[in-house]
Amino acid sequence: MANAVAFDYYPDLAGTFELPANRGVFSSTGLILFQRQSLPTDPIGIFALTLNNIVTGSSLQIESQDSSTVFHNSVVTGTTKSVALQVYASGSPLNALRIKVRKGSVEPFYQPYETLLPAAVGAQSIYVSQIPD
Amino acid sequence: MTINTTFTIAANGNIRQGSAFVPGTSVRFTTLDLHKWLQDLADDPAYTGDDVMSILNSNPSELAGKRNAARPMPVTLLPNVNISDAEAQWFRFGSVEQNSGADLYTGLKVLGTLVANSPIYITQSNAKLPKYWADADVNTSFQILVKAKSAGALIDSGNVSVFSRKYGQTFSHFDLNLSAGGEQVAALGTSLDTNIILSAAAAEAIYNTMTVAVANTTQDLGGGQGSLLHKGTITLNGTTTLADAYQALMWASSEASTATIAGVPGWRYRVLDAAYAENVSAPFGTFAGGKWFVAQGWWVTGVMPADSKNYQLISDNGTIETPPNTVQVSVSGLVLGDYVLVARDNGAGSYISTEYTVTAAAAATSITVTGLKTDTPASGVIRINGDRYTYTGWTGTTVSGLSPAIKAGGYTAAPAFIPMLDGVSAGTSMTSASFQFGTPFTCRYFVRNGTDGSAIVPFESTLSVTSTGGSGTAVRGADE
Repeated sequence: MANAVAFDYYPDLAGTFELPANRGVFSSTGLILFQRQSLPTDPIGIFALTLNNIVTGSSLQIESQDSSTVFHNSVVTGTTKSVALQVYASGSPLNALRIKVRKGSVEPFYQPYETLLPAAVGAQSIYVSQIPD
Repeated sequence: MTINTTFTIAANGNIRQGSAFVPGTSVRFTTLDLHKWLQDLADDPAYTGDDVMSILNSNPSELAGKRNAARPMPVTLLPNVNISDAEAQWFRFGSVEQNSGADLYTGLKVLGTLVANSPIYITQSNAKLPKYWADADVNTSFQILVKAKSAGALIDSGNVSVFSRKYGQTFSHFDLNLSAGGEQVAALGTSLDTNIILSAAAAEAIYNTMTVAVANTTQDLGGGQGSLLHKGTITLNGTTTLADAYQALMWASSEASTATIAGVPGWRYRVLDAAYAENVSAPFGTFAGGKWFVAQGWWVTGVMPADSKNYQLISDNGTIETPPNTVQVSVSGLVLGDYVLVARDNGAGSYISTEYTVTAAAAATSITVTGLKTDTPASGVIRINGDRYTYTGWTGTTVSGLSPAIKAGGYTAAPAFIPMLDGVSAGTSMTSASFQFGTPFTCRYFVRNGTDGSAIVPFESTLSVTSTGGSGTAVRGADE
């Protein structure tokens, strides 16, 4: 109920209306009860992912496992990389992450590293074990 | 031309060439180059140029082990990345596996000492592969990929044979199995064949006068090895030298041959019977020092008399067969009426008078001589218990044509010997009947003449019988 919003009027109950961006479950103290209905594409929180032991210069891509969405793509400049990712409602395919770490352009070369990870609100670290190619 | 400009990668994973590989002109990439190129693209944030490959794609390739430019690299293309047979011609020094292991292109390397530009051809499933290499490749490094597996099935169990059979050079071939991938090595060796002096056309013309037929035949070359089984016959026309026949058969089994030998194309004929040892450098046998060492199993007919000793055969059972070497023993320095006796020396100052032990019935004109030597004169004299009989021939252990017939009473376990010469001279020399030379031996010879007017002191000496025969000269010391 942290995101309760007070309305100074009662909208037409037979129709639809736009909720503010900071929607949340709330209720009024009057006769009418409102409940928030989130879409699967609505983020519900933040997943703070930290990748340790990554080889400097590696290309990093974080994407959904169905390859429909790329959440992050960069060339890592240190041995640790932190990425803030959004978490979606339970059951969303966007919470199924694939992490790709590749280094095939500049020596030293490493075999592509790939792992799967579910996104969840909170923080998590993973150890990237790249194998020289 | 770089690998990046040579190929494109389509969204479906097809790696395809822009233009076809040109043997002798195009330069092959290593399989490691392919992997490096794919990995270089695979860490790009987005597609570039005509290559649909970036970090958006799955990992396109992996190596069996770490990158090492000094070793052949087995590359696996993942998961739908692929090359076709045409692209495989561009690669070397490793192998490429794709389609979840259903397709395999394996490296093939030729090593050895070869004549410059020795042409190479490869057979798979008994057919020649189209050449996507140049003859000059052997001068530097012959390394290609050969498709070993297709649609999940090994092609001819992964077996290939690598040949170099150029007319004018010694031949070579090597069998390989490519199923393991990586790079497999064929060891070949060729050299100029100085016995080849005919043009290919002339050799082919001679071959066309010959008959090369496969059929069992039991023959005796006459060299003492007896009748032996052979599985094929090379028939010469009676005017072809063995040297020419050798060249004709080298042409018939060369890469360019159109002949069929023992039911297979001449360019892949190797041996008459799979149980025989192959003669890799010359399938019909080598030619050296003016002599043809014919490959196992072949019988040769129609040999010119001048060539009668210039070859040897190997029978089906592996017996080396040599043509008979007939020699004679002669004694010169004689006069009419000299009595000459030449017999095997006993090494103790006399001759062997107990060479055999025979038993013979009275009036017999043939006898059995147990252990009769193969180097016995075709005709001559046999002495039994000192008695002299002439004979006209022998076969095996039977001496026949005795004259006179065996005397009354016959012989029982009587000592006997067969001298090389035993008779009265009709001129200045005497020569024995021919006999087949086996191993050298020594004869002791005696020349005597007690006739008034030509009497001599009995002469006695020894002579050596070798592969060219034996001869001695009487020294006449007057005894009057």
